[in-house]
Amino acid sequence: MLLSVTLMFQNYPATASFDELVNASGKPRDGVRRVGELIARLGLAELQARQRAAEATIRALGITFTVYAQNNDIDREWPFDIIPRVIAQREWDGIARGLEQRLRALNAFIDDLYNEQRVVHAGVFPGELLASSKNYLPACRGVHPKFGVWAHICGSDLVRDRDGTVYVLEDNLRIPSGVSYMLENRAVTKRVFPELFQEQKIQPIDGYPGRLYAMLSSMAPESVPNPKVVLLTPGSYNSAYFEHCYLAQQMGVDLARGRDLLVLADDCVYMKTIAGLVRVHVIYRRVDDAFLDPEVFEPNSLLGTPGLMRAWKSGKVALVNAPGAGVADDKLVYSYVPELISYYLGEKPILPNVETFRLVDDRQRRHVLENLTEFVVKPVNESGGYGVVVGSAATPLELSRCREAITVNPRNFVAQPIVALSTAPTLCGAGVEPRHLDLRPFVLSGESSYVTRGGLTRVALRKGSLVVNSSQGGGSKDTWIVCDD
Amino acid sequence: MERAQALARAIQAVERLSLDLPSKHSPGLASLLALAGKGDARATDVSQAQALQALALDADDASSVLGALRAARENLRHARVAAPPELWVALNNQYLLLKDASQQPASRVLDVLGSVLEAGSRIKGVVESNMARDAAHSFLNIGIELERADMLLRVLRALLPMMTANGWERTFDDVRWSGLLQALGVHSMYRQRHHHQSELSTLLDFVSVDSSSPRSVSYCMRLVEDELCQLPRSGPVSAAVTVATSSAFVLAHSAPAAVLEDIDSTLNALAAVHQALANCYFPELEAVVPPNSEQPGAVAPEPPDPFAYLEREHAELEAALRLLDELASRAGRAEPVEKADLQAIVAYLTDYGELGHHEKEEAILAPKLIEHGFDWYEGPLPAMRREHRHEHMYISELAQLARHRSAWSAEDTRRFAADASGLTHFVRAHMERERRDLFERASLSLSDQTKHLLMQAFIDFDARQQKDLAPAKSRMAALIQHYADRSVAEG
Repeated sequence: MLLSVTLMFQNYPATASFDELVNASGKPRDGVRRVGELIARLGLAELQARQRAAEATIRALGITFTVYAQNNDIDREWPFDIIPRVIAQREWDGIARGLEQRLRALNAFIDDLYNEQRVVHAGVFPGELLASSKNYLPACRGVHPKFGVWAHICGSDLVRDRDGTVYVLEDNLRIPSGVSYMLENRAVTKRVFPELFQEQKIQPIDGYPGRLYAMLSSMAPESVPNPKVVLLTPGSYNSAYFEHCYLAQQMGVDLARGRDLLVLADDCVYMKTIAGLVRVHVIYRRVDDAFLDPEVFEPNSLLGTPGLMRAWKSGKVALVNAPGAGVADDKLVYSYVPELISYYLGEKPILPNVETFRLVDDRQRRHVLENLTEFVVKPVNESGGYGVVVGSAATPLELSRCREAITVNPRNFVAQPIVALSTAPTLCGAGVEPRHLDLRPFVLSGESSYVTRGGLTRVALRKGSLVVNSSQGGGSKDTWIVCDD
Repeated sequence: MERAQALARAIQAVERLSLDLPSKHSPGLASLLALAGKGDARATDVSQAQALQALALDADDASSVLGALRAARENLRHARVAAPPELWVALNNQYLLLKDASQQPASRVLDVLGSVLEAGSRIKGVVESNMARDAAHSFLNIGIELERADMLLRVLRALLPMMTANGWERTFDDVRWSGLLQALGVHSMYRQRHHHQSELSTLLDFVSVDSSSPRSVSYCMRLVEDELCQLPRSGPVSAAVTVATSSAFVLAHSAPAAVLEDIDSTLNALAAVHQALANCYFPELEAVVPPNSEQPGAVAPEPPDPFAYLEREHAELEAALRLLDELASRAGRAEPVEKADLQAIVAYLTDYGELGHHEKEEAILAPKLIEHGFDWYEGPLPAMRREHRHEHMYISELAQLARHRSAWSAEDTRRFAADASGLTHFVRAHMERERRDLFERASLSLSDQTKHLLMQAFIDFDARQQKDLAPAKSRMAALIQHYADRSVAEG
């Protein structure tokens, strides 16, 4: 067995980054050693054959993501690498606690912002940042969602730096996506690696749709025995439409578009069915705030339903995530999360933030502008990797434009030192090579909370690239939480 | 998928014909281009390869096999949540198989077209064994049957010209006949039923109304009707299905010179069923389900009673039933029955009874009751719908008798007496059950305000229907008067 491990990883290039599976000596790390050995035992040819089998499965199952730019066949097959990313159970338990802690604090923060704003009065969070926040929705003021939860579903992006420390890179609190790919990755891996599942204690993840449904049901505003839950989708041209269908199917709930719903004068939401109107109690909405209700937000929106905000504010329907939760999704707010944890929970943060420079601060801005090639500059309200400039990889023109954009509107950007992002063995053409990756676990929050066992590992398939987003050439891996050896 | 199968079957049959017929007498794939809406069936300047490309591999045109599969796949992508996952896998695999084959030689494409037929059967099996019996299942089956009937007639229309050979070409009649049956997908069923008869009239009967052929238009319409029974307020669609079935009967007895015209009429009738479905269930949903606009505190001045309104309609229908009793008694006494009178009664029961009264009950009353806690699947509402369908069957029987071109035989008269009597007994019992099990309970369950809204919806509905219902109502009034006068004259 040792020979096979040696053969598999003997040419595995060492990089300056932390590798999730292989240590500096070219051997599987403690805690995930057995999985490393089992993969090595399969050998390269067998791995390649199974990669082809996985790709055929993905094609047959139609696991896709949508790309707006392509007119024909807008759904693209999901790029997937069969070598799993492995995390030891003991380490994961700490990460999960940190994620729960973080979401508790963020929900307390959002609830506070839309009500008393104690955090502003206490000087912990600057009022001017709130005043200039694009995602703060005055229409949500004074609302008290059930259990005080605004962000019911959160997808936080985690990265691991050179020294092995896991950091939170950002929190996605508006409409985090990717959980269906996490589940499908596992389904594909189980098909192509059944023997590894027999020989390893790998934490199952299949229970997520059930947990999600239970959380959604629990948010029903009245004590109805069987609340009607629907998933509101912008439609089949949305990049996450596959996920919308997948989750609706897995939960056994209806998939609705805005025009399928109706809010009547009683402020209740109804779904139009061929048998008449059916009352809806919970909406898992995958439509952005701005398009949710043309009566309140974008008046020309065809994606939402007129009156939805009225129904939500009068407590007749639950919206998940709640409108306005995105106020905490601002990357500038992210930089305050450690203080928020301390302020609301009186606890020390379990998971650290990546050091973040607030460019509204003159001194910090000056430092960043003088050393731009050492930073990643991010727009505070974008997601999916759009608008991110990696200083070390940017052209002079890109750097110049970035500098100008920061100068014109510093509130719109934050900067972070370039995190080396850990790597993991990835099947690349002729061999196994290290590729950078991150991890998006999902946290559900209702009366209680739940963290997925693992999450969606996104991997930059291009050598040396740090961009893991599927819309920009990234792929994914199954994530295994395994019991320590 | 049904369209892809029908096209694939026709392409394969025509390809096989080209092996047996001298090339200049072979219809060639170009003969099918009209079927796919791609030009004249007699086009001679299109090569086999070009025709195959257009009929089988044009991914951007849903009239080609690949295009139809792609459209089906895209539809399923939109409706994935309502379908079993296995359905997606089966359809997706077939689409990818043909898409990949499109880069291969023609022989490979023809092989893969064979697999389209198998995939269709597999998909039907998946639907039957793995899909919940809900409205989605009903709509899927209705779509399959409509497309099946439609494509059968289109293939027939495209290939009929090749059957008009004369002179020495008639040597190949058997080959052509077999090819046509294979293209229609009825070869072995037809042989079992009619052996080697090769009469156009027999074929027309077989594809139009034969009750043993699952591809005949009337058979498909019967299945559509069965599915409609599972859906609410399907009255207008049922009416369109009745017209399509009647059209198929006309086609079955079509004179040779009128065949193409009658095929077109039946295709139009099938299109009307599709349109009725769209109107009934999709774009008009908001219009037929009046939104609840109840305002707290707004009290209607005088509580209206929509149930009294419906019972008044029952009373009006009762007058027509009495007349039908009268005709049935006359038939029982072997006295002549005027078919025109029966036609007037049937028209009244269809227009006023089904499209007016039943539609109000199913499209306005039932949704409102569901909003107020009535069950769609159990209790008086499904009973009401079932009985409406049953009543429709009786009326259809009488309509057929009324349309007889020749004089009634003794058997026809006996059937009329039995059906008329059956209908009147059934409808009276149904009306009594509605009054007792539905109206009384509903009246207790609804607030005065809701009843007021219901009443208003009935009145609005009748105002919209008034013009269409007026002829049947006035004919019925005249007929009642006529028989009253006659009864007086006869002492």
